[in-house]
Amino acid sequence: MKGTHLGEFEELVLLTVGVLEDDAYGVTVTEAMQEQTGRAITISTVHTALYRLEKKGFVSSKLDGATKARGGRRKRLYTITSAGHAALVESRGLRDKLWGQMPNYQFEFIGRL
Amino acid sequence: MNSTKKISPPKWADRILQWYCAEEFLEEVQGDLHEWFHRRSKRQGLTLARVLYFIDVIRFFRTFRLRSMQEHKTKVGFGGKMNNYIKTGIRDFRRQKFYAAINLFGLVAGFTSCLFIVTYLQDELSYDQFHSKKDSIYRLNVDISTSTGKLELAYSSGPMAQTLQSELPEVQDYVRIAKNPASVLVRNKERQFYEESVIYADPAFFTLFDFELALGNKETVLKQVDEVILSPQMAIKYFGESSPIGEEMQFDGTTYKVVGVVQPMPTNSHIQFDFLVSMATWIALRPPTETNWFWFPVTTYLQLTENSEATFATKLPAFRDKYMVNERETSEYNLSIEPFAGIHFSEARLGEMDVKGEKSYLYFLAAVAGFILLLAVANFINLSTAKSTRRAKEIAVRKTLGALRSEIKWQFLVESTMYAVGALALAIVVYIALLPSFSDLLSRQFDGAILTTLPFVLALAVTPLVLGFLAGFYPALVMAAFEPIQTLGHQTKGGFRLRGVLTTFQFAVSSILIFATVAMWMQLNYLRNTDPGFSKEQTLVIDFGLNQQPIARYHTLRNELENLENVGAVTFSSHIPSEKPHGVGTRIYNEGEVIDGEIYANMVDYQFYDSYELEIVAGRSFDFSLSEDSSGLVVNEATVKAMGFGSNEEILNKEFLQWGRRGRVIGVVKDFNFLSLHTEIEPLSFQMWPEQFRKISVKLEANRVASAIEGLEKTWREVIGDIPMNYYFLDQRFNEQYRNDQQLGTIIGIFSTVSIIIAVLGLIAFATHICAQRAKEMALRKVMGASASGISFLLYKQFSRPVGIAFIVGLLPAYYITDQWLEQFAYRVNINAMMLLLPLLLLAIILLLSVGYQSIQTALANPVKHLKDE
Repeated sequence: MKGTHLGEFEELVLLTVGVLEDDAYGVTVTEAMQEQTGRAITISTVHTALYRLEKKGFVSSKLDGATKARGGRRKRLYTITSAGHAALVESRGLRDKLWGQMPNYQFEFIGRL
Repeated sequence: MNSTKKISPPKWADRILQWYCAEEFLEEVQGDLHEWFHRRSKRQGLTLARVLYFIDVIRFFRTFRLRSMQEHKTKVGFGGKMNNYIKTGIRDFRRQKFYAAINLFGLVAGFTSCLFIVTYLQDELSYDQFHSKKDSIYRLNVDISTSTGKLELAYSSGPMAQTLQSELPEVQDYVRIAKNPASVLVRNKERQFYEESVIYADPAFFTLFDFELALGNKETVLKQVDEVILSPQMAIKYFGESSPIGEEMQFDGTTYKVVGVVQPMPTNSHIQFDFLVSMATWIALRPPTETNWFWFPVTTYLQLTENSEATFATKLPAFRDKYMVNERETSEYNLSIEPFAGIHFSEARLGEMDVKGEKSYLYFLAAVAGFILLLAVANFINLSTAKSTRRAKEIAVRKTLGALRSEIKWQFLVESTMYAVGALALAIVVYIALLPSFSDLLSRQFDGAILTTLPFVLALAVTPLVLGFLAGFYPALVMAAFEPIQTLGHQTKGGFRLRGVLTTFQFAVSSILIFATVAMWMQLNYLRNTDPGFSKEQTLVIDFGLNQQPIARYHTLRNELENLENVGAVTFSSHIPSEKPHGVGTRIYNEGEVIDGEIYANMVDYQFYDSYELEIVAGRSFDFSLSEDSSGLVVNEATVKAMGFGSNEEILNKEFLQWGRRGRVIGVVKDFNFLSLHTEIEPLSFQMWPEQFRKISVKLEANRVASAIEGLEKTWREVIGDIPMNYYFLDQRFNEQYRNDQQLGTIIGIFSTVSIIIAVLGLIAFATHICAQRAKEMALRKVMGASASGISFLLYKQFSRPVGIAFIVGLLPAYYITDQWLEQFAYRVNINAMMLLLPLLLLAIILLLSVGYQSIQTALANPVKHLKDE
């Protein structure tokens, strides 16, 4: 396991899983992310990210909820773990800290140019 | 119901998913994909959704989801065993880098050589095959039988084609092509160069052949006088980036209109040109083309109706009788047709448009390719069985644990196939990297497109499997036969005999190739160094083509040039030695008897013989002060013989008729090789005829060439003016004659080096193994008092036997092949002791070097080192 570093894309997936609460699986996560980010996101990348997150222990999963559209196949439903939550908080904290250190005039400078 | 059935992802895509996806992932992945598909089909339509579904299936192809990797962790099946075989194979490769590298190198070199040879063969065999009408096109050939022998022409006379078409229903269409006999001064404003490749053709050129125009209209071009079509290179050379269509350019002072630019032409076509001028232009310059049946300036291509060539051929004699029999002709003419598609490999005739291909070379190269592959395979078998003793323990353990004999066999077959596949992949990389150099070497354009043709791809897929099996079969058999109880205890011997045979085979092939290379090298050397009978050193040739100014100012130019510093003799002529002169019908009157012959005619001035150091053996050479010499003829000794005269003196003062000129024979010149040494010296005659001059040969003082050329150019500008001085050196032109032979020599040289390297590597590895195996025995011998030199001699003996036998075995085929190749030269080296000794010496050195280190090391080793671990 290459550490428990959280990539940018993984962070988005993890957040989406959190947002979707009980109904987070491949299809819904992909769809929610497409809507939220406006990016073209493929379902296979989301799947891969979810597996990776599970290996890192940030999400847990169970098989459940077969529907007709799925030909009676079950879904792998993901829920965010406390470790995942902590990772999100840590990542946000790091950003906030950096945001706080950035002087305001940087933006003004760019604006005037 | 119907609608739900329709709205479903493609079954075959699902099957792909089910095939690769591991069980534990399948349910969720497939479920998600199906759901995704349903959402998509609502939004984006069914068709698109189905396509995207397949793309998603491919996207989900990740290694961690693969069936075999996951499922066979717990379950052992066919794939599991395969996995294990591959893994053991890779481990063995890593552990035995030396053996493995040699093994791999041999295969890679073998495959690469084969790829190159196949590329070359394919290129040669596809010569002229790209024309869609190739099977209905025939070339009209003329044979002329005279007292000097039979002349076989690729030429025909001008009126033939059209008369044939109007009289015989089999002829659908025709194209006549004429090649400009001299270089042409081509000019567009300030850009002017001498050009060699100017041809003339009838308008049907573009309908009969599959050449395409990049610019211009195929339907209308070549119909008018003074129209020219350019090759892409020439369009750029004279007009740069702008379109040349409708522009004008000058050919020897006449203005032609550019009406087209052809698409780049394939190099494997015997019809090649830089400038294609309308036939009408040729006819306007040379009106007899349309009327003279006994002048043969054109090559005629006929398109015949389907399956009519046999009937057509039977009608040719009657046609000939109708038009080509008259009392004045004592020569006999014969017309025949030759399939267009076969022209590249047929017997060369006089006036071929391109250098002929040589089928025997191709067979030889194909054989070389096959041999190199076999060498690599032999190497593989040798090395695999050699190292089998080391693998014996592994096999014993496998067998003890219940592996079947067949399973062991499979293991080694898989391993050798793996090597073959890996080697092929590497070979393709090497091939692509070296292809440009190979193209340069042969002055062809190989683009590697062959790699993408279907039969080739299939061959590529099958070859490593076949070779893998071929190479792996024997080792597999040997290994599978190991008895575990023996191998776990002791070392095994095995495969000794076969290895000896294989080493012999390798060196037999190598000695054939070494022998052939040495013989070719000696022959090429012979060609280059044999005195052709004329002086070719330090000779500069100024080629002014059909320009008239140098001839008009002949005396001034000659004197001015000769008076220059660092310049020796200067002579004018229509042709230079090593260039094929015109063949001309020549008649000699011998006391009322008429002798007709086709002989070569070179037009020269009186200094020619001095300048080229030719010896007059009877009579005299031309004398400028005697006005009658403009009607004199000098012939070579070959003409005297061919015309049936008993001695050189007999032909003197006989009356002759050549090219409408009458006069007397004034002298006989000693035979010299005015053509390449491929052919015997043929009949040749000389007239002094300034209007026909096209070249000036200038002898230069050695070491002062640059300043001499400077002086020549200055004088040329003063006397001739605007026309550039176009020159080359005679020996360049001379060596050009042997370019094909040299290319073949280089190719064979390269491939025999490759095969020798493969064989040597095999021998080194083999020697390493034997020395290791016999180390204990040698240590014992040493303890018993054997000397180090005695021991290394003992080891040498073991290796020199197969190599010695190989040399003797290889001798006969080598002799045969080499002799065949030498046959084609009228002047050739004979196979001599030197040719035998050189390869033998080479083999001995190779043996010494490859085995030497190992055997000496073994001989010098401290016996304790090998004896202690019993």
